[in-house]
Amino acid sequence: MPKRQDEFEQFVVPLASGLLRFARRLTANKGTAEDLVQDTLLKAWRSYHQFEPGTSIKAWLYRILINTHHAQGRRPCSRLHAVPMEDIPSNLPTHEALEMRQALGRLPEDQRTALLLAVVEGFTCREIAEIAGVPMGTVMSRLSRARNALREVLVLKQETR
Amino acid sequence: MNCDDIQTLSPAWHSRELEEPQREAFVSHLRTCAQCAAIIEDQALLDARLRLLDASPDISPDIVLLKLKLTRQIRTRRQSQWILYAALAASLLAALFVGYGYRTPRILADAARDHRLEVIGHQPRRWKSETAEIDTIATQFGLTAARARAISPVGYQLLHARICGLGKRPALHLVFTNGAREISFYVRQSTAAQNVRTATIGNERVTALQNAGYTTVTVTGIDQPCEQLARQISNRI
Repeated sequence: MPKRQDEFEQFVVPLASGLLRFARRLTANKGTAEDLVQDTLLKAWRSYHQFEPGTSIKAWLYRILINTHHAQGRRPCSRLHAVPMEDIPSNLPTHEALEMRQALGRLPEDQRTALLLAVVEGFTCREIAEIAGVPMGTVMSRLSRARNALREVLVLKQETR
Repeated sequence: MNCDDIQTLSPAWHSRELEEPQREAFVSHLRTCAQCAAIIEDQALLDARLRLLDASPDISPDIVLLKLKLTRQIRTRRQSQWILYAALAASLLAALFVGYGYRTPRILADAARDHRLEVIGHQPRRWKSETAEIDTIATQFGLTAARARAISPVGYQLLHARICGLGKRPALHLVFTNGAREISFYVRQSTAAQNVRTATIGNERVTALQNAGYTTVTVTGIDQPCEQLARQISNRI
């Protein structure tokens, strides 16, 4: 098997699950997320020769995904029946998951993206800066504001129960 | 370091990017400022809940591979197809995400989910950490507390243990720590043939081994040498 193909299968393919999870949160639509991941993997294959060995392949993939998402703008979902995000299983109790999803949905996209990349996908602030193409200080500021905003909303909900 | 510095540096703290002198100063401030300590703890708890929000989609890498191979074959035959190729890729990807008959083995998925909830998410559980308590549960799986401690991989020690369910059967869940990270090791007796299975599920790497009368499942972070750790522990049972 050609080396390039072997490497792609070994390093890129196992990351598909994480890409889909992130894409669902980014697009807030299951069908659109699946289309986005499909486009991302195909683009990654076509441009794999441009990937610099020694750098983070995970960060490279997520950068492709985010750029593809932005390039696609608000293209309608290609599926006839988009499945609502609420139907995605959660490891949290139902009411907690609903509160968290609502709070997350209220964040500006740049803050939500930074938070998901840091907390769920496990990227460092430096890696997120590379992925998003912004300074590290900007990433840290977005993360602080996102966490503060979530904390205020969720603490307020607890106090009003 | 003051409270404003803590607020500014907190993202780097949570992602473990602070260099040593700054990290020391950060920790030192938290020891003396209850307000900052509470905020940092709240943020960590929020992060833990966020990680649990979406169950990871179950995608077998074999299916992603099959889809990519087929689309590449179509391209090399020079069929015009953007439509045919996209339609085929879409239908295969639909099969992938619906998961027709191609699922990560349940035992691996169960272990990853259990580790995520109980170890990463710190959901309340009645862990056993005293030798006598661990003995009581370990003997049900042909082990003792001393044996459970002895099989710790290099650089790790046993933190605690409990019994949990994996694939509808009970297993002994051991948590090992190296002081910074925790890994999970599930073990139960089995007469199945020798076998090795590995998967990446979300942020976890999972390895199941069938060896010497035991089925074992090891769960680590995606950046850790899961298979190596799994073999180390299994070889010591």
